[in-house]
Amino acid sequence: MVRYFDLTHVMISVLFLTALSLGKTPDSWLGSLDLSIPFILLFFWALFEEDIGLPYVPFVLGFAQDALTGTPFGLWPAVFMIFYILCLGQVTVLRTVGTGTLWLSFILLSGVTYLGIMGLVAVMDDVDVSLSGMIWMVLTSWAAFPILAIPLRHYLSEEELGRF
Amino acid sequence: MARSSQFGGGQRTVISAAGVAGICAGIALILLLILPGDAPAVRNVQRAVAVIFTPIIELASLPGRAIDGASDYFAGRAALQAENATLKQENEKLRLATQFISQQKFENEQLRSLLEMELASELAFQGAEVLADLSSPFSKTVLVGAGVKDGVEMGQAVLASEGFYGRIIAVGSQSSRVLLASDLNSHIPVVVGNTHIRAILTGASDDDPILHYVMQDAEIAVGDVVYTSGDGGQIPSGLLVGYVSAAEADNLRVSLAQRNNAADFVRILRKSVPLAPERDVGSVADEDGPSSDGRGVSGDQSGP
Repeated sequence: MVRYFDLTHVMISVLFLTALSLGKTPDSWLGSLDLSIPFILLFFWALFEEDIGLPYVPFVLGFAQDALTGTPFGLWPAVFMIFYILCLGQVTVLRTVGTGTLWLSFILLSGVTYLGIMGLVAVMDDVDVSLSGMIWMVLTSWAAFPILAIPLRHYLSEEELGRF
Repeated sequence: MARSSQFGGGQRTVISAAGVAGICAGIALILLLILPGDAPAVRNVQRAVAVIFTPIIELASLPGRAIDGASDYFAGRAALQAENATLKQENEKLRLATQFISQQKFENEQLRSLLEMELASELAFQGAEVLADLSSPFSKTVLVGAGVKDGVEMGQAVLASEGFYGRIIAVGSQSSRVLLASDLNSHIPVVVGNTHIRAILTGASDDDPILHYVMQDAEIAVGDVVYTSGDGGQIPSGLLVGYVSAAEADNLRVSLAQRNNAADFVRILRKSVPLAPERDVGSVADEDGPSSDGRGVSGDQSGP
């Protein structure tokens, strides 16, 4: 039975929105988190919470991110979705591995996505990107991963076990 | 791989999560590649989405603000005492500065009355709270809580407590987006030092933007003050932008007086400087050749 709407969806949507908003807190150290946490959340959802209702959340919020920050319409939804698909492709391999391997996999997959963003921007005329800002974003997301990995993995694994 | 899903508990497999994500990615990429970013329709859609999501983001940022508030609370008594001492010192300096400004203003008014000179325009401000920092590697912008209803218009200059902050690039009914001076797409016409060397200040995505289009023999030194020039007619002249931090021939940089992520409240200049007359009505211009409005180089203040 497919789940279109349940408590986990609501929780994940709120979590994703809160994560996006954390980086938008003005005059705060939280502002440096930028989009790091949403990438980590996407990674875990793809691996442990596969459900057709879920891709819509980052898709819609990606458009909100574009509208609010002034980036070209469609950039962040495309980035979120490509990263999500890349992660989905690794489900069978990564679902049973340890946190260290998950971290390395996240570094690899997000690294590929960030390189993809740079490539996408390079072919677009009206978009500039700060290389230092991008490197900072990559490093913060890699550094923040272990902090979020343990609670997320625990919660989502429990959810999976309870469902089947 | 992703589990297949079924509608309504039936047996027919419809689509997997990867399929949904693939369709979504395709839609996003098509929109990204075919939609012109500056089309009015796109701007209207962006504005509508921003209007919907601004209060949601504001609400969702409450946990972040709470965490921030909690870290401030636990910052400790010693840190608060030190901050209090600094604030007292600054307050004393400001009192002295206010007295000096009052004297200067009085003297200025006296001199103006002697010359029978009217002020070209009186600057009016609209205060606003910074609602969200929207900066990313792609742009340096903030969302402020004042919009069309408060008289905010596109292109207006925005000041923070330390100096020039940016300018309005999108206006909603109750909020507006400010392009910071540090953004890669920010080009502000400025004057440098006492000799008023003209240049264009271009953002470099950090707190040290670059001075471009400077005359080759211009003498610029580290520490020179940088103000807005008013060229182009959108941003008034004389607003403090920053100080020259590097003065090599191939590397002219300005340290912004107002650092990027350090403003809680801003002031939006509601009235811009008077523009050139729409058309010449006198005969003087015809007799003297091409009309001049007395401005220097026309600065490029256009955004992305």
